[in-house]
Amino acid sequence: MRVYSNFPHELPEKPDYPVVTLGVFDGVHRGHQRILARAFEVAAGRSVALVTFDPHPRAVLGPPKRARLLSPLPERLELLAAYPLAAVAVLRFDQQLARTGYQDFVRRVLLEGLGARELVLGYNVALGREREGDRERLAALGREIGYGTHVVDAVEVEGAPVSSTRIRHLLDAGRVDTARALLGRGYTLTGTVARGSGRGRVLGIPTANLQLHPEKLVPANGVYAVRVQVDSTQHAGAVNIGVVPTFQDSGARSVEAHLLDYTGDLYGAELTLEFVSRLRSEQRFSGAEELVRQVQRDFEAARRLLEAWGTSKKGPDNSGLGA
Amino acid sequence: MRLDDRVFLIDKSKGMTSFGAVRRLRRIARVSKAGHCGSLDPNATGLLLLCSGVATRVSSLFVDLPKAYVGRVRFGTATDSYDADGESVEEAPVPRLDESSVRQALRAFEGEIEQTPPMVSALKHEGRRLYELAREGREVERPPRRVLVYEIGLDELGAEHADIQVRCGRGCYVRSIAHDLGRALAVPAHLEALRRISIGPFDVADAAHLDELESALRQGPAQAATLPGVRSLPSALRSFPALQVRRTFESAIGHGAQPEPRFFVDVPRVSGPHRLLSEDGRRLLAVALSEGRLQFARVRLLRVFPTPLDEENGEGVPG
Repeated sequence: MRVYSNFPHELPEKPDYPVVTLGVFDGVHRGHQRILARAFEVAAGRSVALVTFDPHPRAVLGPPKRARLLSPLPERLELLAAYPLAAVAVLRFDQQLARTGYQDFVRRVLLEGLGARELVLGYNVALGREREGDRERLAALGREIGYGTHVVDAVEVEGAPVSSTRIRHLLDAGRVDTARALLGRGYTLTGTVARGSGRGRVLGIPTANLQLHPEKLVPANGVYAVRVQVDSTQHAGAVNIGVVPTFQDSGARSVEAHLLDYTGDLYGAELTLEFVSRLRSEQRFSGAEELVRQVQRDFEAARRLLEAWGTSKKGPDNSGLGA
Repeated sequence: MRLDDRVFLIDKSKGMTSFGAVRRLRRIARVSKAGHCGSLDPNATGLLLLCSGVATRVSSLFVDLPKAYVGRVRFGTATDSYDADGESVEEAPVPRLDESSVRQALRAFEGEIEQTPPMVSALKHEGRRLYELAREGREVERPPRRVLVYEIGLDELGAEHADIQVRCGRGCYVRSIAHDLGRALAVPAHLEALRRISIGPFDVADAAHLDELESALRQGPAQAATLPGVRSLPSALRSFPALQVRRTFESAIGHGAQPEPRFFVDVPRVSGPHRLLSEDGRRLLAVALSEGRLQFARVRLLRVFPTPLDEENGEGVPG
């Protein structure tokens, strides 16, 4: 997979990508997965290029605030690398591009820049100035200047289309399980372990304080059961997402993971947390003792969810528990 | 003092129906109103949420929570009920099953799937329960239903059984997954054992057996209230986000007035169920559903508590 990281300022030398699909592709969710599948079907062996927008157009056009993404660019490229794409072009979205009409954009960037003959588009496509280039207009333009368009319908889950925005709202509500159904995989956070306050160690509950990409969306505050990937091994764990007590005003949030059955030093290591289930909301405790008791309960719940059969690998109790 | 307005985390024993558990709770806790928040098959064990008094009026909030189960699929025999209680309808020797093909077959049940409910189930056909019809020996067409399966794991594969873990949304039958897994692997199968390990934030480790609850109750309701499985309604609802109602509008909410944005101290950050608290965060006034979020939210009352419930220590407002 060839990556053009400064597109369209940097263009391929040979524009030889007959099938092109484009969009933000944030999260590479099930709707995106359907678009990708369709692109490879249309291509029938020919090269497919994907154009992804970065920064997110809303971050450029909307009020200035930090983007909250399911997959910031490095993670998005990693997710896309799982597909047999010939190229990914990272479209550097800026004010000038936002002012370009969709006709110019298609002609200059997609057709001349990449060599597109077929465009595979999401159902809600809206390209160019004022988002004028919708599916009808793009199809009409294609008939006029000679390219094919293929519009892919939304994937529906629970009666509504899968979209990145919907997944963001689910994660904001802590609903990591429904988010999983829309993503087609568990939501993950990847980061390096930084030195935290050391509070956990004092209480006998060492936690790994995760440093994340600044644009990465962090699910609602609370405690979750997670699968933790360290190097190439997987561990059961629990993560506490909350407000950093000492920085309460800045709204900074901390992501503190505890690995069950792990005693090594994690400082500097890269961890990936896969969210499995929300265990509880944030809670205030009257004292350290109460906190430790609740945390122990959280670990138990996480353990049960992640390795349901316990370490003994026994089956479910068939004898009639409590009878 | 009785144990009214509570949510009970019960570890149900095998053989008991969910409604049987409700009846027993009603008797031992001497509560007038009791109900369950989503049934569990008679031959399954594990977490059953029961509620009493005013808690019965918000039970639907708990029914919608995600659930986690562990279960054992027995290969070689298919039954009419899809579980071990039914009559055998098909038997065949079990071929050698390899782990990767079982995993692959299970993966097909993840996501939003169409599921045909078992004939022996509490769903209704023309106004009658399917299990009643099944008892009369009738089998009727059941339209497949859309259910969400978040994840299925294979914990152990034996020569004639598979231990699986299923996390799913409301309305999902693990029995049907066992039956359909057999079909996918071309071997008859049924669900031999099932245990529910969690419902949303509630974990079976905190649950009490009804016997345990009964003996605690003999020492007095105050003693029983200290069991981790006996929750006050405000505490049981605590995993839902809170909205604080401005003091001026607290009584309006109490009278069931449809909330307007100016009623609240803050806008809802997410859509979905919310607790409505008094401005000081000490009393639970109502539960409401927020459709949409931030300034676009429309908040609809679901249930108003005629007498506001005490939020212990006011810890309902996250810091």
